[in-house]
Amino acid sequence: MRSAIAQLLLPLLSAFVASAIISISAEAQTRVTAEPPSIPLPPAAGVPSPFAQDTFELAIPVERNVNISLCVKDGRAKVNGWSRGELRVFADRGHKFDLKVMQRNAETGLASWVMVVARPKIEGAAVNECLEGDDVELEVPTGASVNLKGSDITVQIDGIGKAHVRTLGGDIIARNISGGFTASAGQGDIVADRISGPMNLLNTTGNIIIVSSGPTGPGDDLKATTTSGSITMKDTIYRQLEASSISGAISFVGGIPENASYNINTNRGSIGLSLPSASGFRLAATYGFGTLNSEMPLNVLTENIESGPIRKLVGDIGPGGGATVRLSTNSGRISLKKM
Amino acid sequence: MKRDCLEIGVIQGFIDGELPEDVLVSVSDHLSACDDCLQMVSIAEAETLAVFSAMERELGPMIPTQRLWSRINDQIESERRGFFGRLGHIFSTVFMSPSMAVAAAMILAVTAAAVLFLQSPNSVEVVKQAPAVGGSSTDRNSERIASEPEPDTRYQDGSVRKVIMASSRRPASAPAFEKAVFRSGNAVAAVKNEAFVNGEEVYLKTISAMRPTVDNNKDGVLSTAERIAYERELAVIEDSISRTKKELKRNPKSESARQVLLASYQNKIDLLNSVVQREELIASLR
Repeated sequence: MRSAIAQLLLPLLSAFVASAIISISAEAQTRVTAEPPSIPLPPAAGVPSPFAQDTFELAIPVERNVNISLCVKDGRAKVNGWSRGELRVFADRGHKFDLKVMQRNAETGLASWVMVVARPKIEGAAVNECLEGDDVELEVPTGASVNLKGSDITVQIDGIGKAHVRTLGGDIIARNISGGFTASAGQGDIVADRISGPMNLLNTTGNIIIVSSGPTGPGDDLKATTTSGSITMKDTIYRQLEASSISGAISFVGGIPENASYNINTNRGSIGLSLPSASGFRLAATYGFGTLNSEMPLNVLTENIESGPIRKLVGDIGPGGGATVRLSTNSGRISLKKM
Repeated sequence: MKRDCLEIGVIQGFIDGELPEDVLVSVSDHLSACDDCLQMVSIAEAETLAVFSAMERELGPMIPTQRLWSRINDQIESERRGFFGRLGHIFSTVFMSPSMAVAAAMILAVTAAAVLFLQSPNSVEVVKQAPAVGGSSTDRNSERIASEPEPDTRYQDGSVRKVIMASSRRPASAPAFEKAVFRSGNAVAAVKNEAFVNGEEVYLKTISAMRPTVDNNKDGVLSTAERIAYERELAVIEDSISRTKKELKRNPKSESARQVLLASYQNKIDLLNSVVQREELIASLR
């Protein structure tokens, strides 16, 4: 019996050992022969330069509310509004480009949607949308809507209808925009000055500064989010406001409109409100591992009486009113000061 | 230029987020109107970035490169595959032999019978004790719970949630009941998982859906400085979540702690989303 089992097991055991050895050796061989991931090589020398030697400029007549899209890989992009019904694009030591009309107004025949596209590096090659160079300047009608994206660029926009900007790095500075502004930046600051209309600003490691801005209609809101930067809002008169930061401070200076709904939260940062002494609104403050200080008269309506560090307080500032301000910080201080 | 320009120390403090609140407001006010100072901020930021880039090699070992990550992952995968492959090979070899297969089947049958035998009294205990908790049947309990949506703690498994919620309504006099519940069937899994705060599960699902994409791609889309900032912010959020969870464990009915916890989850989602958006932008720039 024993010999029968031995006869049965021995081949199995030897087969197992053999297969294990084969499998291990195969794995070892794979490890030895595995190549590191290939790194793309830079383009070969001698390719005809697509760059303008000095400057390059194009202009076309467009609708007053034309939609313009462009991508600028690096350098500086400037967009200015002017009263002419014309789009002018200028590049200083930059990429040669074309103005591609994507759509025309059926009645006037003027361009209503234009894309600024770089000329291909080699004739017949696929078009790379993004311009490269030192400076790219656009003159656009004041009602124009500009959609700009880029890698590492400083963007300055002034006096246009609407702007949508996305960058990986560099500052974004927008002034005098009449119909709304959205921006997202990786590194660098976002400055929004005298903006009307809805605003949505997203920053990763930079600061956000919003000054003298407000809605154009009842539904226009302001949303500002940053991870490690601070958010400063001064004289913003939105009725709906949402500001959040992970480890940055958030400060608000100015009055709070009637029936406004403000939601400000930070994980590890302070929240500071500087308000006119006659302000009136309902405050709902949640602060864990932090403090709440108010220079304003605060009539406490409810306050949690739980033990533990996280506190919630609801109360009326001044005479109260229809506006509600929700402040939340995990480990920071909340302060309300008189202006 | 609006007025006298800011000192470089103030600008550096602004970039590093180290300014006091009142100074921050005045600096922001100044920057909004002074192009020269904004230019100086840009230059200082570029210098900071250049320093980080120059230190990339030194900082490199702290943050593994994409290639290193993929090699580590490949190695882990191959080790795992190797182990399970060998295990599978052993099993296939063993079960190829009829006598061994019969012996293994017998062992499995005996084990299964033993498990069933050991589990059955506990299940009976649960069924018997559940009505005593609310003074009604289990079904009636579940109906009542559906019409009273205010539990402080929730569990992944539905059946357990009902029983636990029922137990929360009973005076704190039957710890044995919970032990019995936890020993039976799926409840074991629920014990391993932590209790969910009301609304937490949705956030966790969203985060777990986003996390693999972000973890796989963050090395490719974030520079060293950004990667450091990302990890730092993530650590801030994780710390905040763990502190709040501790507080909730101590005081499960704290509504304020719940709010802070959910806000922290939202911040985490925003942080992960910033990486996803960045990845999308990089892809569109290519």
